[in-house]
This record gives sequence, C-alpha cells and structure tokens, in this order.
Amino acid sequence: MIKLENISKIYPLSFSREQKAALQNVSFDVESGEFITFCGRSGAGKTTLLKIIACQEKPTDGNVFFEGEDLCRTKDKDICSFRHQIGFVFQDYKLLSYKTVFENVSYALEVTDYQNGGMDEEVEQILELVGLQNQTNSFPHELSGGEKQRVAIARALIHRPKVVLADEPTGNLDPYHTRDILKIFNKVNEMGTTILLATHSKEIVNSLQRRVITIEDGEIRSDEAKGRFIL
Amino acid sequence: MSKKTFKKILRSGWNNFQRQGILTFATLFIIFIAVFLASSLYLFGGAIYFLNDRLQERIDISVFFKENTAREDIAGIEEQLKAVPEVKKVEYISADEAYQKFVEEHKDDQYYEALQAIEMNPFLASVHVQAKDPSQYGEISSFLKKDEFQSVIQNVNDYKRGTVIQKLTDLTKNIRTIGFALIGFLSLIAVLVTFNTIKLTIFSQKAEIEIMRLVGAKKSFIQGPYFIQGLLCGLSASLFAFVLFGAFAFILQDKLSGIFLGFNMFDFYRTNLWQLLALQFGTGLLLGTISSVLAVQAYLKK
Repeated sequence: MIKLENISKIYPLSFSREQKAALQNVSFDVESGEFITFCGRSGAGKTTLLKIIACQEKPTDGNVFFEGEDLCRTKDKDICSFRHQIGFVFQDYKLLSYKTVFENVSYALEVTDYQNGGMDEEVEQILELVGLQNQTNSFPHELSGGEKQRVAIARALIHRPKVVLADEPTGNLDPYHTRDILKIFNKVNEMGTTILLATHSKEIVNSLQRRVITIEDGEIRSDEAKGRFIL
Repeated sequence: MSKKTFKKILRSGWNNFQRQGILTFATLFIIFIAVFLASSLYLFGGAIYFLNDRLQERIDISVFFKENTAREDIAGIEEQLKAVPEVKKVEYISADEAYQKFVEEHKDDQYYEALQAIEMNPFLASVHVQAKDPSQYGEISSFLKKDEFQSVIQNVNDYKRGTVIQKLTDLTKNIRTIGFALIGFLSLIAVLVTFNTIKLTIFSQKAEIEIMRLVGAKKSFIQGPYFIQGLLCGLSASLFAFVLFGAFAFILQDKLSGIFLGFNMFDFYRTNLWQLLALQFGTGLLLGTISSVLAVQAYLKK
C-alpha cells in the first residue's frame, strides 16, 4: 500500500552552511490494514517521516509510493485528492479554532465534495463513537485536551480514510485518555484502516504488541513484526 | 463550483465574520478609516472646486463710464465685449443701481452717513466683465484700451488689480494642484496601510489555513470563506462610514460653511449621494476582498 524507498531528508541549518539529516536511507513497506508504531526519541525523525508520507514535506532523496503512485511527483492540485484518503491526528490537535466540534469534523467531509445525503448523521455517529455526542456545539477552547484529541480523531476518521497518520496523539494526555484513544485506534484498525502511529512512549509501544519500527538519528534501527520498546 | 459548495463557502464566510471578533473588528475598523478618508478627500476635492469657482467669480474687470455717457453708447461697447471670444459674462450696472447696492450693503455703518452727507450720487455707470478663464483677462484688458473707447471710459480697474488677478489665478491653480496631489498621496497611503493591516490579521490565520490544506481542502474552498469575510467587512465598514459621514456632514455643515466661503458640506453630500455611495462601497468592498484574497494566496503558495 505504502512503499518508502531510500528516503533522505536534509535540512539546512539557519545562520550556517551546515546541514542536518533528519532521515537517511529509510526504506520499508506498509501493507493495507497494518498497525505500525514508529518509536524513537524526540528529534529522531518520526514526525519528518509522517510529514513526507503526508506530502507535507518533499524528501531530499528517494521515493514514496502510495498504491503504486509516486507521491514525490504528485502535482499540487492532486495532493488534495490524495489527502482525502488519509486521516491526520496530531499531538497539538490542530483543530480549527473558530469552528464548533461538529463543524471541525464535518469540514473533513465537506472538502471531499461529499455528495451523499445524511452528512449530519454521519458526523453524529462518529462523534458518538468517540464519546462527544453531547459536545457538538462546543468550540475547541471549551474542551479538555482529551476531548480535543477525540475531535481530531473523529475528523481523521469521518471520511473513512485508508490510512490514519497519528503523530504523538497521546503526548498531551493522561493515562486514562491515552487508553481511550488507543482503544479507538485498535477498533478502527480492526475495521481495516491502516494506522501509522509515531510515539516515544514505552508503555504505548509495549501495550500494542504490533509491528514496531524504531528510528534513531534518522535511520531505521529495527523493524519487528511484534516489537517492543528497545531504546 | 456546485451550488452546494457555494452555499457552504457562504455559510463558512458568514460564520468566520461573526465568530472572529477581534480579527473582524480590526479589519472592519481599518477599512472604515480608509473609506472615511476617501470620502473626506472626495469632499475636499468638492470644496476645492467650489472655492476655485467662487474665487473665479470674484475676479472681474470693472469698466467705469464717464458721467452722462449715453446708455446706447455703453450698450454698444457691451455688445462688442460679448463678441470677444474670451468673455464669459458682461453685466451692466447703472449709477442708480450702484447707489442702491451701496445703500443696501452699508445702511448700518458710517459710509452710508457719508454718502447722505454729500447729497448726490457719486457712482458711475459700469460694466463688469468676466473671462472664461482667469488667464484671459489680459486680452480683455487690451481690448478695452482701444482708442475708440477712451472718449466714454473713465477708467478700467484692472490697471490697479492686474497683479491681484494674476495672483488669484495662480493661487486657484496651486490650490487645485496641491489639493489633488495630496488626495492622491493620502489615498495611496490608505490603500497600503489597509492592505498591510489585513495581511497581518490574516497572518494569525496561517495555522488554520495549514490545517485546511492538511485535511485536503482545495484552494478555492479555503479562499472562498476569506473572500466572503472580506466582502462582509468591506460592506459593514462602508455602511458605517456612509452613516457616520452623513451625520458629520449634517452636524458640521454650518461651521464648515463659514470656513469654506459658503461651501455647504451636507448639500454636497446630498447632491453627490450616488457618487459618494459608489466611492464608499467601491473602496470598502475592493479593499476587503482584494486584500483578503491576496493575503490568503500568499499562504496558499507556501
């Protein structure tokens, strides 16, 4: 489904001629329906990796394929349709601050030119799934961190994406909310959605018992089918 | 774009306008100032034209005729003057009319008493000549210096006022030139300040625009609501400026009339209502929409 071939990403450092390699020769394949955890210390290159898969950043070298199509050669106008197949969840939620919970979630569906009727019902259903059915008219600033993250997850899932990219989705949450969020990811994965989760949490990695790709200094240190936190 | 998408964009733009209190207020306020400034400059332009006309009306050449000159002789000169291409208006004032006019103007002061004391009409019959353009007084003056007129003409007062006429002519030209240069300069500043303020307010939306792109929104779907929001800000700002400017014009009409030689601000506002409406709403809507579209476009390119 997703294939990364010798991906490198080099950033020039400000105020000097030096460069920093965020990723070096990273290659792996992702099968449809997999749940992969990318683990590594802060600054290891996990976020850069997800950004490259999401077409937010272009790699300095290498290729990324999504269902056989080279994303590095995708034109700007086609990136929108690619992103309609992806769901994003971030540590800082990235919610639209002037939209209500309902509008934040429905926005992801509206941008896909959703033509079927019953959009409102779909949004209500997904909000029920994440336990926010009573907060539909609240604005992000009126919600707790866990609630915001659940809105972000609802937004990531509303358009039934093929892949969910989650970058430290539990980084700002307490253990109770973290457990809830992981339950949702597991449930979505059981329904066939591919999940790519970046985290530096030992507990999460060990509790999931799924494929783990460990990244260290921009390079893949290990790739195990049922991995554990090894750093 | 489908009707449904258009509706969504309209709704989203309206929601942004309502909900983004400080952003909306800042944008609306700066457009209001620009529209108010544009209206003031338009009014200033009107006042300059008015003053210019009044000054030009006050410039004339007065030809005084010798006592006992026959009315027919004066009428003959009047006819010849009317035939001069540079002449705009010729007005005859008889000695009696001049006397009456003086009495009217000075009935309450010592000049009237002085006139009563001499017990005669000291005024001469006169003809007042206005040129189409102040620069043409020289030619009219030369025409009146012809020998054939000297037997009936007592004096032509431009000999004494020649420099004054020239100075007034120069002054009106300068006022117009400086006035319109000032209008152009201030308009440019208003547009630049407005554009940059709106750009700064949209800068705070940079993160939101990035999120929209990340969830796969097309450029038109991102830009649309900002366009509507800019349109609504421009519309509201123009409406406020229109009402407030009208109120100021009404309240200050008497005070300003004294300063601008009888220029009535409120009358000007009423008589030029459609032009003012077009100027205010045109400025407001253009500033609101163009600056919001350009500012969003800058973030969409990145």
